[in-house]
Amino acid sequence: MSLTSPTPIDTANEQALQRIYTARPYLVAVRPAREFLPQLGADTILHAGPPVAWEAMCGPMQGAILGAVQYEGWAADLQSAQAFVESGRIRLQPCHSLSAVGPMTGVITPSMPLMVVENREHGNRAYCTLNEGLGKVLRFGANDASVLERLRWLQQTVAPALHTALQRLGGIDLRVMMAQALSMGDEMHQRNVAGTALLGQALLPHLVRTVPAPEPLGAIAEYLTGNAQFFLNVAMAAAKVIMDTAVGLSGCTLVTAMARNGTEFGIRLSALGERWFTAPAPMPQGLYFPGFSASDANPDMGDSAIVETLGLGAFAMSASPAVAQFLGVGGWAEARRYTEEMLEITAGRHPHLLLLTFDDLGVPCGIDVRKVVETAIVPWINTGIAHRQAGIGQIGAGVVQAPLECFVQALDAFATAYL
Amino acid sequence: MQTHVRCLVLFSTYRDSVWLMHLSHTLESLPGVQRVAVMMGTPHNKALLQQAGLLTPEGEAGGANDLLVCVQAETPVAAAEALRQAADRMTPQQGRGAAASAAAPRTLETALRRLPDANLACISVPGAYAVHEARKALQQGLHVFLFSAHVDLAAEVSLKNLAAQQGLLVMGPDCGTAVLNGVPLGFANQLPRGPVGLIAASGTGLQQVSCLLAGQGIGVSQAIGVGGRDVHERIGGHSMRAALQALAQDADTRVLVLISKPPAASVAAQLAREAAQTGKPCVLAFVGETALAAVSQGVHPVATLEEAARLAGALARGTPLPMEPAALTASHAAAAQAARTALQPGQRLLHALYCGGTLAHEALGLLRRALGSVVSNLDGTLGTAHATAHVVLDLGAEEFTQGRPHPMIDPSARRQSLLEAAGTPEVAVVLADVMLGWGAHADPAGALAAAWQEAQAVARAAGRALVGIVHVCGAPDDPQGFVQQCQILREHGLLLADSNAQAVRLATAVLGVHAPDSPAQRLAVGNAATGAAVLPQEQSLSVSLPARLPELFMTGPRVVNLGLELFATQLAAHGVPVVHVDWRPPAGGDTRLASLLERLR
Amino acid sequence: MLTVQVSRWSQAAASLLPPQQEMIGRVHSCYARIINVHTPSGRLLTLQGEGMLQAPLGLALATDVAALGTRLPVGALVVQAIPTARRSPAALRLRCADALVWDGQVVAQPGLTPSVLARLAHGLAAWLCCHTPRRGLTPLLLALEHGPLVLSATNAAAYAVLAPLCTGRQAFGVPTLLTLVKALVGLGEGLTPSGDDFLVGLLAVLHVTGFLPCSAASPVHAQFCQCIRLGTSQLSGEFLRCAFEGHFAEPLVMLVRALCALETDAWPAHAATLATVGHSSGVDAMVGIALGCRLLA
Repeated sequence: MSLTSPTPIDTANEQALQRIYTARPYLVAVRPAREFLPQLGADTILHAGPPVAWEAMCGPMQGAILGAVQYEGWAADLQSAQAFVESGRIRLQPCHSLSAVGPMTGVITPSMPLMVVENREHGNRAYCTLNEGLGKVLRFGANDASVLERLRWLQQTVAPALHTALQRLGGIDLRVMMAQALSMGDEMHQRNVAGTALLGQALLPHLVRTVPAPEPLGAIAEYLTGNAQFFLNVAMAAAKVIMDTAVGLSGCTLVTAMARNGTEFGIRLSALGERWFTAPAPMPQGLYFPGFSASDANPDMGDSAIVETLGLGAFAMSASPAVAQFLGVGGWAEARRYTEEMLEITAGRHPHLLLLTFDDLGVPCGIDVRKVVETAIVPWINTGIAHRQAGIGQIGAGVVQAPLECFVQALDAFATAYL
Repeated sequence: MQTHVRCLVLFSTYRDSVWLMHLSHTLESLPGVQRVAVMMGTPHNKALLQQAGLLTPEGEAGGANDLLVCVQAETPVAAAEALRQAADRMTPQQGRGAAASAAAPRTLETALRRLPDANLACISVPGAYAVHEARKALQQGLHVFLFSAHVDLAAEVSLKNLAAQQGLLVMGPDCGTAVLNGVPLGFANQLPRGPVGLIAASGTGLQQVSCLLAGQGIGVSQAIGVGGRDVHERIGGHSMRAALQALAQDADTRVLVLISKPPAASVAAQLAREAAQTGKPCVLAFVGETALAAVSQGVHPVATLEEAARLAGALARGTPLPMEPAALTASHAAAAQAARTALQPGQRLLHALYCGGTLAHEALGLLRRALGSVVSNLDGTLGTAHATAHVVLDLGAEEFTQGRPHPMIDPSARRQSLLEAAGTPEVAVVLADVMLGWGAHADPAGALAAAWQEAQAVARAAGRALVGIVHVCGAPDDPQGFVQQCQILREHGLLLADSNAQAVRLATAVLGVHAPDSPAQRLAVGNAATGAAVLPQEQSLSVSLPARLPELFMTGPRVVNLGLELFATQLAAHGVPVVHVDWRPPAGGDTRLASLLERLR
Repeated sequence: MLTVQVSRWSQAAASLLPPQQEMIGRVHSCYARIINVHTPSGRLLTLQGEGMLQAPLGLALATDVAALGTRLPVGALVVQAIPTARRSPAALRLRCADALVWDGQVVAQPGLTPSVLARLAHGLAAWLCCHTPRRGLTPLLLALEHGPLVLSATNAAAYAVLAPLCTGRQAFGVPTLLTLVKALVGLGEGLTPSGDDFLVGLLAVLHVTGFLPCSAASPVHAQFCQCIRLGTSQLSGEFLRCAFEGHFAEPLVMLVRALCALETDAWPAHAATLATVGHSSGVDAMVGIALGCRLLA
């Protein structure tokens, strides 16, 4: 309706949105990280969030790194793992730097199996770990023998089986699956029940025909169906592959990534490529499981905010009143308000990810850093709350707001580059 | 056992009796609650509650139209909880509609998604930001009603140029009043529809003329405000001339009235010329203009708002134009004489206390002609001469409204000045305007009457009488009730004039001065028939009809409101589609970031 | 702007809205299935759904009034549809031209001798004590027979005023009326306080016996209006003012007319209908009628 011609920034943003809308993510493979990421040299470990030095890492993140070192066989036990890391023999870098994402601590090593999502429209790929399940897991910093054993089981038994099934399927159209999950009450961050079920449904016939014996088939099936959050990792990889199409567009003010490492919260801006703009990670506000309270909580952590960056998660809260209650946010009306608020700071609506409860409006897509600074409305993120001690695990769930400071920094940097 | 009594007053709250009984029972069954009373706060009921030990000072504040919920409980917490539950059940039942659960949008863009066919932005945010919002609105194809003041000249020029490019109209800045398609915008009156089109660079000027016409039973097609500075040389009457073009072509408009303080000579000439070209009879009301040059046939310059209404009314009715200027009726003259006799010998001064700026300006001019020396805050002559000179105060001016609401909204501002006048021995007459209409105070006459009683008491205690003269600027259908407002003033012994000019005549009569007829008026009326244009021909850029203005007149306003929420409420009361924006300063008020954002648009 | 047809209205309401007058007023309050509209001249009109007119200045609309009420904010403009070229913008426009007019005026009836009045008083009081013994002011009737046992605060206050009148031998006159009004106005629970409802019932009897009306110019009228203005809410005050001028709500008018139709005994059905109005408004009005008949007998 505007009567004046669009500015260069608006044009760039529109271009970015078109790429985001037309990207078509397919889950195509599950292979060891080193296979698709040759840059992931020996002695390199990826972690969630913006870059962070070992000394500055939070408890769970350090615990996960130590576990990862043992998993790779670079150290035999915890003590030697600690010595190994402190000697500076490993490089630590963000998952995002290699088009990967990981939930919570998000630790990735060369041997770890990664799900591979391919954008068949533009050709780029993105990667995410297999969700370990609940309980004592690496992503919350646990690193004892049971954790390592489970990781090996994933690597040796689950990953190859899933890979074979995917090869038979020829890949799974994730955009369609996410749209379906959205219409079934998932927002794909804290609620993935429908997505997990749909994925299991797609894989089951092929798993049954390719896994030779009832055990391990039973164990794999149990793993897939017993973890309601399995689809989270899939959604994260899909969101990453989609948002990556908008990285590095000149003059574009849209946010391409939001990520946290338990110490800092960071964002990336399209026009400014791989640069991170960071601020201290905020504390989530939410409901705690019995026996835990805010004093036990770790600052916000994980690459899962890539889901909100696309427009799902808290942005799609109106699709998921159940999650609103789970997060302690309220009921249907409150859930709807989150989506409405996010409409104020986004440039577009995703035409394929629709909100039934919002008159089929597409999810708010394309966070414009100018609008964030102008309105002081920051993105909401639905998040799990981790215990600040390594290895204890999830102690609650709630919402967290991205720090305004990141966006102010990004805007200033953009202005310096372009004005 | 301990007892704790708490009362909750729900002002102007009505619920049917069954509902009230239900509430009563619900509260009684809460843990720890001993006794509950839910009743209207009538005098008898409050007496009963008092006797029963259920009335607290808070409850005492309730009146006959308010609902009292009184609770006696074992603990303060139980009492508070009961009242909280009562309050919860009182969630508003009316006017929420389908959009009730949606939060108000934060920006113009989001508002436009809710109301895609909006055609007008009503902007009353602080001046510094108003320009930016107005510009955005114009770029989105919306006309702008710019209530905000403190917009600089250069910004006004730029906005009006942008509007011209887009075929839109900017009403403002500093535009307090408009009535579009019968819908009041800002501080405006409930006017009947009719054949007179008004364009004004003055809010209260527009109100006075339109109300006087309404009082004659003559309605308004459109009343367009253009902002106080529109007729400045550098703006050149841009919006006024654009509106003139539009009303010239509007089939529902048969008579035109232009209202402002005297414009720059070149602008006045331009306006007179373009008015003549419309082919419709046009009244030029340049209030306080002392030297009215004769103009073309069909263009009628006048010097007072009263005269503008008289002429416009005659032109609308097709009756002969009044040849004699307005004068006091016999009964008014008699009342003036009677009031005069009550004065003490030393009382010879007039204090005029105005809410309306243009009315103050008009009065100042007329009073100076009649009384000689008059000081005012309008032109910096005020000094500290209160006790020795006639005074005209515009109480709506900046120096009086720092950190307090405008006197049209808050009558207590005038009370102070009234008491000071009463305490000044030389003061004989107090003159005041009472402004009715949307946005104004709910009972300005009541407030003034109360203050007047106090003032009279002050004067009486010093052995003096005080003469009070008021005129009520209101339309018969105004929310405050025009007839009742006048009644209240008369009951309190105030002399009621029909217009501002008449109030001045009445005042000068009480002071024993015969007001000379304004020679300028006679000249204009006398020369109306000559048909010779004697103004200098000036070249200036033509202003064309804004292409999208006729559409606004045809379909009526559909509004996005940024700023004062009461404007949105007023529009909703008239069935106008409106979205109110929960506006905040950009970048949380950080000016550095705001200017950065401006450059990154 | 919403346009709604008025299907039926009272004569009293119609007389306030001449056909050429566009302005009706502004929304005063909305609750349940009622919308009250405040006119510039200070009257309160009541918009309701189809059915018996529940207010003397009542307009029955052909629409879901509860739903309408949620869409009209307080202060919203209400206008009448009139056949001129330009229409004023408003939130609600009412089409009154084809509305059926119901005459709710209670006028003096012949044949209401003291003995007839006494019989009516007794009959109605008995009905109330039987059917609504604990509602509203009914305990008052029992107390007047048997002495004040346990009465609520409201009823006790009313008893204190009414008992002397019932036992006393003086004829009912204007001073009595004004005393009663001053003592009872605004007293009691309910949106229309019990005392007000009582007075409405009493006033109905005064009209039907020819005791009232007195002209609007009489000092009694002025005193009455003053009393209700200060003593009770705008809404209840409007009902009282209309009652003083002889206009009542439909359920009450039906009962009064039935009571005065001496050859039949159909009034109990109307009493039952009136008893369902409000929580105790109808009952309190009937207590007023019963005592009114008794005082004038």
